[in-house]
Amino acid sequence: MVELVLDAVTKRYDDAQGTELAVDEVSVTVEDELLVLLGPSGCGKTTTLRMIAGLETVTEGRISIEGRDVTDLHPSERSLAMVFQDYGLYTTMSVRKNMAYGLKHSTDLSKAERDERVQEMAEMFGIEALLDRDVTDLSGGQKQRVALGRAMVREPDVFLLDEPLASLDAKLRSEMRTELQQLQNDLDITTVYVTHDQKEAMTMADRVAVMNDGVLRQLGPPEAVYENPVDRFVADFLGNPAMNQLPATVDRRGDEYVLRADVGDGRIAFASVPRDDFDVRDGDHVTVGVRPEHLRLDDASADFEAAVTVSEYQGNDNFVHMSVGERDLTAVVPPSVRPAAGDTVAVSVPPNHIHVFDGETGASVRTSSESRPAPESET
Amino acid sequence: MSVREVTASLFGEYTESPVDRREALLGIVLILPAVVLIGGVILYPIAYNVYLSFTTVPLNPDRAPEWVGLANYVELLASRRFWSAFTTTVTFTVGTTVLSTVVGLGVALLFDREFRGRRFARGLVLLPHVTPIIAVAFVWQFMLSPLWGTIPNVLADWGLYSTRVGLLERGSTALPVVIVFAAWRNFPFAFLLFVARLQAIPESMYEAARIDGAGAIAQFKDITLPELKGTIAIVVLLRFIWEFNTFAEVWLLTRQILTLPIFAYQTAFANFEQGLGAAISLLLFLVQALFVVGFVLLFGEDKV
Repeated sequence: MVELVLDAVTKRYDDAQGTELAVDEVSVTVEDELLVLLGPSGCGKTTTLRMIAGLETVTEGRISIEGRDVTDLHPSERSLAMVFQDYGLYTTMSVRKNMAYGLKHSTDLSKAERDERVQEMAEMFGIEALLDRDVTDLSGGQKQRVALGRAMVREPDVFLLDEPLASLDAKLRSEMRTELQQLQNDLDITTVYVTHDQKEAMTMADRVAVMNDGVLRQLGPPEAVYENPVDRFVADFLGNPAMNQLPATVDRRGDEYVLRADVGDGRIAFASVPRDDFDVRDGDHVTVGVRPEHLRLDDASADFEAAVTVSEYQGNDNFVHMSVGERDLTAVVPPSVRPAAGDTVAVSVPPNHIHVFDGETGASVRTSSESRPAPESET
Repeated sequence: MSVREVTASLFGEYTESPVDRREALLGIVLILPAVVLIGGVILYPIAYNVYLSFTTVPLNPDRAPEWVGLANYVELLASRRFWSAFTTTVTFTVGTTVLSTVVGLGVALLFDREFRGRRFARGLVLLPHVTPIIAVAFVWQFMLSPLWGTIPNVLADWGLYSTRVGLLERGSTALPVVIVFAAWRNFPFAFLLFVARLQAIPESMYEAARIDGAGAIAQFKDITLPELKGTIAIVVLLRFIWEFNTFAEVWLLTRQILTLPIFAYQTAFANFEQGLGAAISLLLFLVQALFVVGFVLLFGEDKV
């Protein structure tokens, strides 16, 4: 049971050109779980991780591990281990020396005890045959394993990973992803994992923290963040292909709101949703969003028509890119539905999968009704 | 034999088609100017020097050099002056190489961090190496002058200097001063190579070491030094070769020191014993060749 707490952690860089706010009051508690810090490059996720590691100073706020304030402690006194994107292995040492280096410098184990620990950990990662090899002779996957083993051999309270899979090829990456998940399940160690790859985040995380511009935008289990994004940024960042988002106007028609999407050369009735479902007024400008997998092209009750620009065969489904007026839409459809480029297709939008965002702030006004918390979905 | 036959015999196993053969011929034609040039300005003088070292060259230019066999070498190896010059050269070379490498490494380590004006400061550090040697040699002579020089003054204030004889005029102090001067002039070379190499060491290794709990000294010993090993070997090798041949740094500063290059120069062009001079320079060459071979054997070809 290890609790890592970030309390309003802020990082500001001051230099001659001015002040740069890299991380803005990020607060999060991680306890025996894998938390993924997710965001585009430059969003502050790596800086946050490096502050936890002690490689960057904290401008404001506190970091504590197991109730112990570590904000001003040296990295080696925080009882954590880190895996770097380029592995950070000591290139002039053998695998064995790499793994024993931390034990040598931060524990008072004897040489024999250190060797034993290294041996055990090497067996766990299946790298015992590599122990006497030079690090420079290893393949990418082997280096990755050695880096993990080196981190784990110290039995840290907190495990930090900075884009550990980014430099592997696609096949190895998905293998290592599975392996990392198993490892985390087995060890149940408090882990913070930084990535810009939303697929890694969705598959591995117990909880995802989506960051942008130094701000923590949303924190929650992957499903919740995917189903109920709090704003347009999170909605856009998670999901591949990205969520379709169009500017729209709210038009009250009896018991329904009709969302009229602005497509450049006019407006189309994009979707209709029950009126008492959410809090907007007639004539409001909003952004309407729907995930590509929820658009249907084979339904008789079509909402509008669109021209297919590109149809991408993906194996288990097709990505269909379409244009409506000057707007682009993407749909993910079953492989049986495969319109050709230039075709006109009838698009239907299921009302229970409509997201509505405030036109100005981008904050979510309505999320897809299927996953909404009970009180709201009673309507 | 025609050129074609020569190339065919040289490249026989590789030239399977006329196209390949023409390609090989073109290659030879293209490298020919370089080979001829190198042969003319390097190989021929070396060969001629070897020949001269076995002769006595008369002062009368109309008379051919007179073959004397190994007489020049026998004379040299029996002469105390030669061995004293040899010892001085080795002392000078080792001292300068070590000092310039250590100082270059130290300064490079200081530059391996961000600070304002780093690029400008790096340019300043190169100044000793790029300023014309005649200028810096005179400035050093001026600074070392027993009458008005700064250095004797400061040393006198510290109680380290009391004679009226200048530091450069006494054999015992001239050599250390010349070593310091040559190291000062040449440390920027080592500095440049070290700075470039240091910047190529991934920062994540140091960060991993910090998390692992290694202190600054352990980081230097376990990461920086092993990473620099190859560069140190190259710097030492190159500096050793150059310092062994050094003429200007010594000659311009003081006439009190006799190194082998100066000995060769004086013998050939002051005493006009060109055969003997050639023999000295050939011995210089041999010592260096032995050193390079030994060095490569010791450190391995891939590292150097």
